[in-house]
Amino acid sequence: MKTAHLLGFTYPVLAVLAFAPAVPVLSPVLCLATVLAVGVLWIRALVREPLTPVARLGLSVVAGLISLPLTALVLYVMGLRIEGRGVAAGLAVLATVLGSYVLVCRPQVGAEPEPQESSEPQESSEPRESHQSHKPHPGHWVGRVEHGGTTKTRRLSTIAAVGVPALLALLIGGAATVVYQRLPHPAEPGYTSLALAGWAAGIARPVAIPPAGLEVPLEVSSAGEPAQTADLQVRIGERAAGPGMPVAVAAGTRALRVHIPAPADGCLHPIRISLGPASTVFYGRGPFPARILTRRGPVPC
Amino acid sequence: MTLISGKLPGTVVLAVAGAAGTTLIVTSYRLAEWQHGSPFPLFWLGLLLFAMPAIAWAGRRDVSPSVRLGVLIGYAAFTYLPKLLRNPAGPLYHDEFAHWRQSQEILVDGRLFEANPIVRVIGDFPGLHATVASIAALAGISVWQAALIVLVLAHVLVVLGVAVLAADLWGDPRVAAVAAVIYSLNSSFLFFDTQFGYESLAVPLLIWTLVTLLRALRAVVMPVRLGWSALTVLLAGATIATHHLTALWLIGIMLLISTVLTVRSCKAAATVTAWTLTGATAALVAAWLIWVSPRTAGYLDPYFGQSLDQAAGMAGKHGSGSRQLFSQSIAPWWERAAAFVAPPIALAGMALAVFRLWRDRSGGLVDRSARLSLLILGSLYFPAALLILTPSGAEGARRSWAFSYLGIALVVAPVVGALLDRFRFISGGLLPLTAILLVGNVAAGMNPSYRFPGPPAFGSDTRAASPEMLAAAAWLRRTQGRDLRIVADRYSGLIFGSYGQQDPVTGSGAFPTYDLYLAQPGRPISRPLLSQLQSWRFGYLVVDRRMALEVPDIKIYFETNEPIPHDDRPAFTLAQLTKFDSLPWTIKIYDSSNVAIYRFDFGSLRAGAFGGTP
Repeated sequence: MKTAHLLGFTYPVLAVLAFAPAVPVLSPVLCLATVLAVGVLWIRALVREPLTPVARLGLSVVAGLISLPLTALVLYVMGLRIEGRGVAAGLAVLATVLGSYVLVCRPQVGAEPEPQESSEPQESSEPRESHQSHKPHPGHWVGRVEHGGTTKTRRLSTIAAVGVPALLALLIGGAATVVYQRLPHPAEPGYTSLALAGWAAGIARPVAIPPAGLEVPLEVSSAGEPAQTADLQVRIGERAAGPGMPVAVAAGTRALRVHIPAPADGCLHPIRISLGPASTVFYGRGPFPARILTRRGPVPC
Repeated sequence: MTLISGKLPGTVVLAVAGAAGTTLIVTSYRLAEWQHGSPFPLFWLGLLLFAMPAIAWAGRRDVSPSVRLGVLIGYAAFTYLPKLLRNPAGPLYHDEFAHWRQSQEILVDGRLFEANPIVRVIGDFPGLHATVASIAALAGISVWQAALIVLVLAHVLVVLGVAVLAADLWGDPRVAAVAAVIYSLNSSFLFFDTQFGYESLAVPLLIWTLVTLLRALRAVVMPVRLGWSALTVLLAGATIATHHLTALWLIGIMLLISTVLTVRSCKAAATVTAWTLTGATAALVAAWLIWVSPRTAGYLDPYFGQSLDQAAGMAGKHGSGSRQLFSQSIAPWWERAAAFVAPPIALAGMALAVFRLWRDRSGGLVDRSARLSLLILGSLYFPAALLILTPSGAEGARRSWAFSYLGIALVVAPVVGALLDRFRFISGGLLPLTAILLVGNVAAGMNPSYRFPGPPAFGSDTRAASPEMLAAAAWLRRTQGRDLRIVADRYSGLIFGSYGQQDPVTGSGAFPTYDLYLAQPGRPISRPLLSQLQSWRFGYLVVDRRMALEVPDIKIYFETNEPIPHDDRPAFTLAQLTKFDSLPWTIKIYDSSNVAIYRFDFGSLRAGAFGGTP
């Protein structure tokens, strides 16, 4: 593909990726194609000798991939957010710089024929016995004379060499993954949780309890356990604030409210709300002077 | 192999073998999770069912280049499958939680270099995270899906990169394929360097940097050399921005090549180029470590220092500091045996490689110098194999094999090629040897709990994401917000730090938050620790009561060097963990079967509301 065509492909695809809503499968494929296109531009700009198909493919993918963190770093240094449009814009600028360099300074690159087909020596399948007789850059991966073929057939065979295993891997790996995920798996251990909710979830210090008491919102969640009934209890200090209230606990999340009566004194008390074995604890002070009433009269807390 | 030799099209054979192998691997995973028998035989049968014919095909001489390329891509894709099936939907390994969170943060906040609470230095190396987050943002897919795309590409790039490097060095496409296969036998290839971790991208970057480096050194025309040099610096820069340890290995390998070149011909243009590029890379690494990530040295130092101390201890009279391989491992005997046999096989291969290199005078200055450098690199595998016997060195030793095996692969591959050429009958024996190396290295490099699913277990990184823990983390994020500083143990820290998007601390020598848990009821808690928690604005404490009921699967409660006894009994009592219910400065805001979340109320602590504690 000529460099101009490569740029002509990259810009609209980047625009689509940046501004159009993502389309499953298509968007990732377009994204990878763009990354590869930028990688190809890197190679065209920097590499000035023939490359074997596998080396060109590998280097292009590597160069394309590292363009992403490079773009992100530049955005970061410029104080811009790293998000889809920013990265797309960054890649467009990078493609423009690389493409312009190739078009201006190396116009012959990217024009047909492809680099490795110009002058690369074809090698036999026998191992190279002596490097002395070869050019400094070996092109041995390309293959053998008898498999040489035309430009078009070689290109097709490389595309097939990449495409067929990739497609088979996608089909087999994808199917295995989907099947494995959908097969039944052993049940995970269940749980029941009790949490302070609403304003109570923000309790960060001892609470002042008014004479009428407090309504404390709670959240009960359960998963993986059979439905059951548990006692909801409130204890203020060592004393139960009343009889336990049976609460049905089933799978899912439900909201509850529990009434906390004002303590009989103004001292600080731990207030424990429990549901079965789960409990929450916070601290509260009644609306009375901070004294404990004893038989001998009030004493300080 | 006869099928591939002509009776059936090779592609069909490999496709069928791939499908059958995949089915066996899936079956082995199901056996493991349902505990219906040992998963090991089926797993290896499935893997080898595809790998053996693929290796045999790639190693044949009468294969066209494009077919060889296709087989190698297929081999790379298939060898990613065990990891893909292990956790197709989200992070599972310890480091994956950290890298997943880091990428997620970039996507949410649009910023690089944010601190990571799970692995503290990874925020300073954003190469992988920026790549994944950019693809996720551009393609409109989740971070995990984007990560899988990058990781599969990286895995294929490793195989192709080694093949290209070997082809450049030896000029034989078959040797190239054999080198790629030998490299794939290293202990990190199947499970570690396939995880969502920075090594998984950095290793292929290192390999391709070496490809461009050698081409720069070989180039005879200045513009060509400049072009390859620029690409080398670009790739080296990307490696540095991705992973600290890989960048250090890259400098080491470049130094080796430059030194060997200097010894052979100090005035050659290639030598000057080698030193220039090594100097440029070293300058980039130094600049990055000084200005971007100054804490990397402090992060890596304990691993180096302690492993050397422990190695010295092992050599001493009392043999202290050693660890027993496969202690309490559920790996079958034949995997353990293969793990012990693998280094001698590698040693034999290296001995033959030395002999071949000594006799082989082919190639130019660059090729011969690079081969010798890679021989030295490969020989580092053996001292590292000894470090595996030390608790702190084991991790570093395992990680080093991904690099030293590159040397082994590239110098042993021509030996294998020559053996196949001269003794055709030997090809049947090399395949079982390959299988033994693969099984042994993987067994030595990765814990079975990482390799196979299993029943829920306390104290296992890979099984930390229980519904209960996920629900607790989700509740905290929903009701209290994200980026909260919390104190946690290792396993709840993983979940709260990743899915929960909080900033957990799990303790260290300098900030021993585990002392909170260790304090006996009614006994004072260290005031300096409480002051530290308060001044650093830690707001929440997560307590997993299973610490008092079970011994962690991997024998760690908080961090590797914690001052906590590791025997067959839980290190905590229930009273130690429930004491927070009666401390006036800890408000219990959430509780479930095993997990409780407390909010610190340091104001009450100052007021000494209840006296007595701390």
